[in-house]
This record gives sequence, C-alpha cells and structure tokens, in this order.
Amino acid sequence: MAAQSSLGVTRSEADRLRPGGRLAALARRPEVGAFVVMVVVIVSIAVASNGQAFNALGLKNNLSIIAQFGIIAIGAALLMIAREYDLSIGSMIGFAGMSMAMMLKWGLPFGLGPATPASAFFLTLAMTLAIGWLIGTIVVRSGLSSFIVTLSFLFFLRGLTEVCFRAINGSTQISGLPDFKETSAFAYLFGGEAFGWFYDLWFLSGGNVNRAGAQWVTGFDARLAWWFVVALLAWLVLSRTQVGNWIYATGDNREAARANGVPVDKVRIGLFMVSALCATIFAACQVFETNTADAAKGNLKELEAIAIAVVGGTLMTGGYGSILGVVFGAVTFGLVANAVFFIPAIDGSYYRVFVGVVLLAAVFLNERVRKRITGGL
Amino acid sequence: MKMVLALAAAAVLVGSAAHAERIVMVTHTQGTDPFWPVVEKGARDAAKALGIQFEYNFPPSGDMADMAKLIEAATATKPDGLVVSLPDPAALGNAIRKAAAAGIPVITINSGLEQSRAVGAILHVGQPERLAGKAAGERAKKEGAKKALCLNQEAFNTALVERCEGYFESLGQKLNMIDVSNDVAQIRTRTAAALQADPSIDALLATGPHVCEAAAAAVKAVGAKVHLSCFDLSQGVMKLIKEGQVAFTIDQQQRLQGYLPIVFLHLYNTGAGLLPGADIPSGPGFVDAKNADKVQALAGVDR
Repeated sequence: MAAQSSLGVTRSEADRLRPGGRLAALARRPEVGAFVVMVVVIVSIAVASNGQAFNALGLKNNLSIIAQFGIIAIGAALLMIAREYDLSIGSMIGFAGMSMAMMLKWGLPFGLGPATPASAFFLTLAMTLAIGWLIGTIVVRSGLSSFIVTLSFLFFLRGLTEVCFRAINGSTQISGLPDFKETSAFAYLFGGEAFGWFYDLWFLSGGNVNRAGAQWVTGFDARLAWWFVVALLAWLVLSRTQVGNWIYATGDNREAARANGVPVDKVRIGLFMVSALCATIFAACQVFETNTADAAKGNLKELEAIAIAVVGGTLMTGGYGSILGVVFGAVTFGLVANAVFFIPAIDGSYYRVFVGVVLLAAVFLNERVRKRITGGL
Repeated sequence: MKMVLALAAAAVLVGSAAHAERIVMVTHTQGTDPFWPVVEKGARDAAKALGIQFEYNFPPSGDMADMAKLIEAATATKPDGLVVSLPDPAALGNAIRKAAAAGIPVITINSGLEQSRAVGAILHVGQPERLAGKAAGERAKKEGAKKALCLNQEAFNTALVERCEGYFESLGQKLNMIDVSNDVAQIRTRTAAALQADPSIDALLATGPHVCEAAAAAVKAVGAKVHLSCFDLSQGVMKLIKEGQVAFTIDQQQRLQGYLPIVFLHLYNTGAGLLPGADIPSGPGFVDAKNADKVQALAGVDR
C-alpha cells in the first residue's frame, strides 16, 4: 500500500518527489493502460474458449502470432516515438521473403553459386537495410512526410517483388523448398523451435499430453525468442542509453532537439533501418518455418504494426511510448486476431469485426488512463 | 466501315503472313496470385505455336472499374480477339458488349460462366466452382468424411465461397467455414484453434494451396486424424499428397483457360466462325497419390 505519512515516519522535503508510493508510481507508467487491456483480453478469451486458447498447443500458436506481430510492431513503435511512420513494412516483408526464397531456389545472384540459408539471409538483410537507409535518407533530405515516402515504397516494393517473381521464377509463389531447418542450424534459428525445456517441464509435471498419451508440443516457435531479443534490445536502447533519449527528443520537439545537438537526421535514418531489420526477421521466420514464399506475404502488416503500437500506448504525435507497452499491445492484438477461432459459438468470419471493436476500445481506455496520469498530455 | 476494315484485315490475314493475328487478354489479378502466371503462360505458349501476336494486361489495383477501362483500351486497338475473365459481370459487361459490338470476338475465362453470353461473349472456358466443390465433397464423403470445416483465405471472394458451399452440399451439411487470412502463420494457428475448439471435425477443405500446406502443419500439430483435401497446386501440396497427409487436390487446370481461348479464337477467325457447341469446363481435375509425381514437375508453371 501507499506509504502515506503515518505518524511514526519523519517527513523530509524529498518526500515531495514521491507523492503516493509504489502503486501510484506504477500507475503513472505509460504502459499501464495497455497492461489493463491485455489482462482483460487474456481473461475473457481464456474463459470463452474453455481454456483451449492456453493449452499446450494453443499457447504455442497464440505466442507465435503474438511474436510475429510483436517484432514488426517494435520497429513501427520506435519510429512513431520519433514521429515517423513506416508504411512499407508489409511490402518489405514480401520483398525479403521473396529474396530469400528465390536465392534458396535459384542460387545467389551474379552467378555466385548456390545459396545457404545464412548467405541468403545476410544478402537479403543487406538489401533491406539499404532500402531502409534509402527511405530514411529521402525522408530526411526531401523534408517530405514519411507517410508519403513510405507509402510509395509500399507500392514500389510490392511491385518489385511481383516483377522479380514473375521474371525469374515464372510463378508468384515458391513452395516445396527443401526443409532447411532440418539441415542447417542457421535456418533452425529462425524456423525451428525455442524454449523446448518449457514444454519438457510441462510434460514432466503431467500436462502437455497428446491424444496418444505422448508428449504433445516440443517447443515454442523460434520467432518467440526473436521477439524477446528485439524487445529487450529496444527496451535497453530506449530507456537506458543516450540514443534512447535522442529518439524521444526527435519525436517530441525536433527543432529543439537539433538545437541541443541531437543528431536528429541520423536517428530517423537509423530507425527506418531498424524497421527494415524487423521486417526481415519476420520474413526469415516464416520462410524458414514453412519453406515457402509468395508475392502477397506481409500484406497489410504495416497497418497492423501501427495498430499494435497504438494499442500499446504509443502516441501518434510522437515523443511518447514504451517498449513494454508495445509488448502488451502485441499480446492483446495477437490474441484478438486468433481468439474467435477458439470459440465455436462465434462464426469465424466475425473476427475482423472483433478486431476493429477491440482496437477502438483499447485505444479509448488507453487514452483515458494516460490522460489521467499525465494530466492531459 | 468497321465491317469493311475487318473484312480487309481478314483478307490480308488469309493472303499473307505479314499481318499477324493479334489477341489481347485482360484478367482480374493484383499480380500477386500464383494462379494467373500459369494462365498467362498457357496463352503465350498457344500464341507462339500459332504465330499469334499476344498481349496481356491486368488491373494491379484489383478495381473492376480499372479493369473495364483496360478492356475498353484493348478494344480501341482493334485486336483480332479478346480474352477476358469475368469476376464481376455488372462492372465489366458494358466494356465487353462494346468490344463485341465492334466486331471483336470475345471469349470469357475463369469465373463468370452464367453471364458469359449476356455480356456478348462467344464462349466460356472455366471451372464451375460449385461443381468443383461438389466433386470434392462427394469424394471426401466416399473417403469417410463426416463433419467438415472449410478453410477460406478470402471469405469475401464468391468463387472460394462457392467451393465451400458445393463441398458441404455433397456432404449434406450446413456450411461451416472460417476465414483463415493469407498469412501462413495465421492460417496454421487458426486451423489448429478450430480443430481444438471442435474435436469432432474429421474433414478439412482448404481453398488454396498455401492454405493447404499450413493446414497440413496444423493437423499434424493438433495430432488429429483428419481428411484433408485442397484446391489448386503447389510443389508443397504435391509433396503432402505423396506423403499421404493430403488426400487429393482439385486442379482447375487453368493452363487450359489460357491456351484454349487462343486456339478457339484462331479457329473462329480463320474458319468462318468455327466454334465448339458448348462452354468448356477446364476443371475439376483430381490430383492424388496416383498422378502426383507427373503433375509435380509442372505444378505452378503449367498446372
């Protein structure tokens, strides 16, 4: 409970910096709204699905969707904190997926011989980072809104993906590649499983049993680990380093930040590259898991990433947001996107209606909480 | 005047090979669908074999009004034949009727069988989707399906819904369909969720090849014994059929939808209106363990 001025405590001037106490301090954090929404969603889905959504496979599958949303949402949120948008995320996913699958099927470009999962990934990453740099540079140099610049890259990259597929592959999908995650540790890192011990322990303690009585699920999808890594790094940078302060300052008041020596342009270009990196990780996880790629991969994901950032408490106007909030937002959005399929009573085609309602409700709740805390920022 | 020009063109065509026959194809794809390149290649192969000049166009926006504009633009170039897909007869009807009125023979392909004549086309080549769904349902029933679920990646696409409806008609069940989205990870998790939510489901129909592959992974993860059948082909689906995880897939044989109209238009133009007496169903063809090997070599390119 709040440590109020009970009689035995001597008060000092410094107490004025800590009005309230631990609970009140907790309630002032930017992610608290997102947290409340997340808890409500988790509990209601657990009840409505009879716990199905969180049994061994349900948990794995839900976290798989949450993680892939979470990875791109962090890239989008960092950009939004710096008051920029990236609408090219979805097309970047399509481009990266196409690039990797194409190299694995047809070999490296310029006759460099057959590709390994690692060479395909890093060559693709080099390209996507270069495109991210280009987007950032155009935004910074031209002074155009990043909304417009990345919108044009949304079309450009999707078109390029399609053209490359048709010109080189003759078909807009690649399917039936060898199962690289069986033979390559690098591919397993993206498309394999992680945290197997969790499910081993679950099995040993009596749960996680399939219909045949053996151990059911053997591990989470690897993208969960990637989500943790990306989130942890982003959180460290944002809340523990000078670069983090630069990002907030860039989004809050760009001219003041520039006047104070913050390398505003470099920060923005760097963040567009981070967003491209997140999209590439997303694509690598899908390509190496399913050994397929198609030209429509990642369609509309840019809007979902922005939606998650907003549900997570990131402000559309920049300068405000937290990684923990975005993590909560990803959990909320990922669950809602899958939830109705666990509930036989609801026709599956209602899920978009459901997503829309929850999105709006979450943002409203978030705003109320945030305004109460910040005094109407 | 147009008549005279057309006659003159025909005369030149018969008289010398200098004026090549020219056919334009306009279809509804946003370019990302792996289905249409197979149709395009079929048409190109036919055109090459017959020495016909061939042009292909599609509206990248997916907007039917844009597609109507493309058909009008193609009509303005006075081709010797027009091949169009007909997903929305109301939006495209006028443009096609104008082409027909200008004396250009039009063949409709893919969807739009019922409206083909009404918009002025001389023939339709396509797969009646409901019929294909019914064929899938009949076979699934014979192979022991009792309670089914249809996995649809575009629940607002009437052709895909008709596949599901036909399937359930044969099974004698009420339509039970979920929208699985086009994201391969979500297809897998949503299918697994639905299978867990209702363990009595013993049959799945996937209305696309990427849905099929992801659904097979979901069935494996849940550990359910499910009769899985699919629509359309990919290398991955072929592999699953050979491994026994997928019972069969319905092949719409869309190469025929590209190849045949070119041949028919050529015969129509050079044979005084030579024309088959009925519309051509390009599918359904079945691909199962028996013919998977042969089809696999061509999947995604010619099949």
